[in-house]
Amino acid sequence: MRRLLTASIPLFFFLAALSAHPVLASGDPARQAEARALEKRLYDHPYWRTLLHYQTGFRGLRSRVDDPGFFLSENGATDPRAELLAFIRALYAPLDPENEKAHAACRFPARLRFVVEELGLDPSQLPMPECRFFREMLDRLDPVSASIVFPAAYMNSPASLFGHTLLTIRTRQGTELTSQAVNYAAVTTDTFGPSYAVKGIFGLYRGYFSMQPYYVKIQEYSDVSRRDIWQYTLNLSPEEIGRMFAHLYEMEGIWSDYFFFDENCSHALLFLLDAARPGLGLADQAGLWVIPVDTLRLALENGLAEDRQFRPSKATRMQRMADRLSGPGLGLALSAARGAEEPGAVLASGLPDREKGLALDLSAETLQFLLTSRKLTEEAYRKQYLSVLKARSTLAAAGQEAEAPAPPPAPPEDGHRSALLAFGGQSVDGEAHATLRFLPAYHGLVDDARGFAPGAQIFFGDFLARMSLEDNNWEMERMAFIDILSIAPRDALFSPVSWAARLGFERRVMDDGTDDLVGFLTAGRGWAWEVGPLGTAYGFAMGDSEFFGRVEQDFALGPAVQAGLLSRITDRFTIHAFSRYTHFVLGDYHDRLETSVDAQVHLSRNHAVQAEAHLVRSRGFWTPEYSLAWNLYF
Amino acid sequence: MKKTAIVTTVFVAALMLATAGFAGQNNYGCGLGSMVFENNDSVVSQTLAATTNGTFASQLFGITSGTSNCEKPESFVYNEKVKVFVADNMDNLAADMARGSGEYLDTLATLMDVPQADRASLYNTLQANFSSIYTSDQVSSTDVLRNMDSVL
Repeated sequence: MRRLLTASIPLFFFLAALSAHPVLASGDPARQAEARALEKRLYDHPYWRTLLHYQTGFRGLRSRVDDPGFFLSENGATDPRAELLAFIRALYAPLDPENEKAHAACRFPARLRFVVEELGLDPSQLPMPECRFFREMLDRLDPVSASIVFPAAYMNSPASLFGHTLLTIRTRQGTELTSQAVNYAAVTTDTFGPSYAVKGIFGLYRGYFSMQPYYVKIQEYSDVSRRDIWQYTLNLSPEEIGRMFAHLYEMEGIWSDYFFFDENCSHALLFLLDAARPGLGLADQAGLWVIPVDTLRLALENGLAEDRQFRPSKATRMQRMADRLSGPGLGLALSAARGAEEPGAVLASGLPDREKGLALDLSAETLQFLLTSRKLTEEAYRKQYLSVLKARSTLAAAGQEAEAPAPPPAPPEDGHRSALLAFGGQSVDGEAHATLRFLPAYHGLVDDARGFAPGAQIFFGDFLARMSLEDNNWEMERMAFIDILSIAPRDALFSPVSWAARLGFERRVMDDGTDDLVGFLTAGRGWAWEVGPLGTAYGFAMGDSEFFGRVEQDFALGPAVQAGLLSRITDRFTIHAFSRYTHFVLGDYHDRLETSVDAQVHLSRNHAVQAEAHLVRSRGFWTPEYSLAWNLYF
Repeated sequence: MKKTAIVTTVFVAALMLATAGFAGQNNYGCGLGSMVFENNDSVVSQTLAATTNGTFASQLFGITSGTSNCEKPESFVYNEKVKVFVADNMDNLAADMARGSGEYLDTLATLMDVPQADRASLYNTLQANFSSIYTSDQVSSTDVLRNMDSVL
């Protein structure tokens, strides 16, 4: 249950209480405050570090914020002490009544509160501005609760492979839909993929905080991108949310270089949570990589979340509607949406009224999808949408049972951890090896799918080394920078695109029968279908390439096809089998057939045993490999 | 040299493949069909279109995405929050109204300060009069508000 908090303490009331403080001894009050701050070593205080986003990294202590406008001291980005002293001096600077917003006390309300509280400053000695603008904003926000929101992974956008995190602040008047969503994102007008990816990875975009109504985010994630959303109510009091907002206000319009892998949407939110509750220190607990689900786990492990709600995406709800319709009902719903039948045909049908209503509801939702996936013009959509809804309005209201929720899937935090270490053995062409595999992120097809998008494999940095038991020499077997396989089944409602992209190096057989480390790049699109109890079958058309090593002319390029089957036999046992054939027609002319049967037994959440039979025929050689490994997710 | 060229080509090609389908701009308006489009998720998930109005003041003082493109609503009995919500959620609200239930309808009632006990009859009235509220496919949020006012 959402905890309703009735008491809201406006942030600035504390100043009134402080006015009872003893007036400081004579002398320049600014100098005295500075001296006290130095004596207390306030610049080392963890909360000062939180507010200025200081962290110790490769380059020593440094703020994660790059915008010079965030600092008052020239050296503020690297010197917490100089920044604190500069702030204290600025507090005592005379006030320009025309532009009080610009005064340090109004510009940085969270820093003000911290310094005044910690130093016991006497507000009557400060040229204390009213800061009306900030106070009005806080009054308008009138927070009652805050949540951390996790839209699940969306495979058809690389920026969303790992899901996303944002915060919502629920206001006193309104519902969940009208909560304010606080989002940290890179601002860009780029629409060209490669430059977007390069800039995103190497920090060439600027990240900003923004605030939008939650319903806008729901339209984007749930309605258009078909992402289920998980919401976790945080046990922050309205007073703590006020603290968080005071810091958020300091961050408005302030940029930091945006890095897809670490200084990203998830990492930035940790500073907001730290600002809400002094002493939390989440940002310092975060690792080198910040994956959204890890942020979520961090918040949960620190006891911040109170409850969990599942908000099924529009697509998930449509699937459930379709499941409840009879065959003819589903057929009519889709015909009405595709314009093959008038909505009147549904009304005139012999279906029971309840089912007519459900069919028209599904037609309306389907029309929205046809519009947002650009399969219908806006013009045509408006006409059809309205005529479906007019027909719908003549039937009885949908009862509560129409919205009856099916049991939600396993939540993301229940999934296995994001990194993998595997120890095992391998027989290659009859020769025994010990193997060691390290995968920093994130999830494989045969891994336990609890908490993950089914049919989505995302490997970043898959590293496999092996040691021959005959000569005890280690060698690198594979280093895949990227290995992504998205298998999205098509059905009556949706026809998503499956896709694959792999880039890396692995040991492959050469013309003379010895092996060499060879680069590979493979990509393509595919089609997938559920095949009853067997699981999901798929086919891909791809482009494949080999380069470097002893590849003749340094490259080989050609078309490839891949077919496979992914079966989740039980909750604890998954099999993936595939075969891929490439005909390299350019450069080093040869062909290659790779077949694999890969199976995993999920022992517990973070332990599994994986076995693979892998057979390659290339350049006239057969290479059979059999592996067995113990997987540890951490 | 050749290796460098191959590496560059391969890397660019990989990125193009990995990022295929990045395009689009948010297209908020104030009538039906003015919603976010697919394929611009890149712009919304980790990134924010530079054109999106996400400043805190504009959010808290009620000038949101939808209304900024719209004709200014006349002064009705409805408060600013209702006007903004209807303008921003024309399509989902229409669906809820036609079926007589749903989250968007609940939010409308909350913003209109309608007590829980009176909501069933409000929803019935709105559903029964759906055709006189969403009168045509060119209907604007201002029309919807005006028509709601005359129905209720």
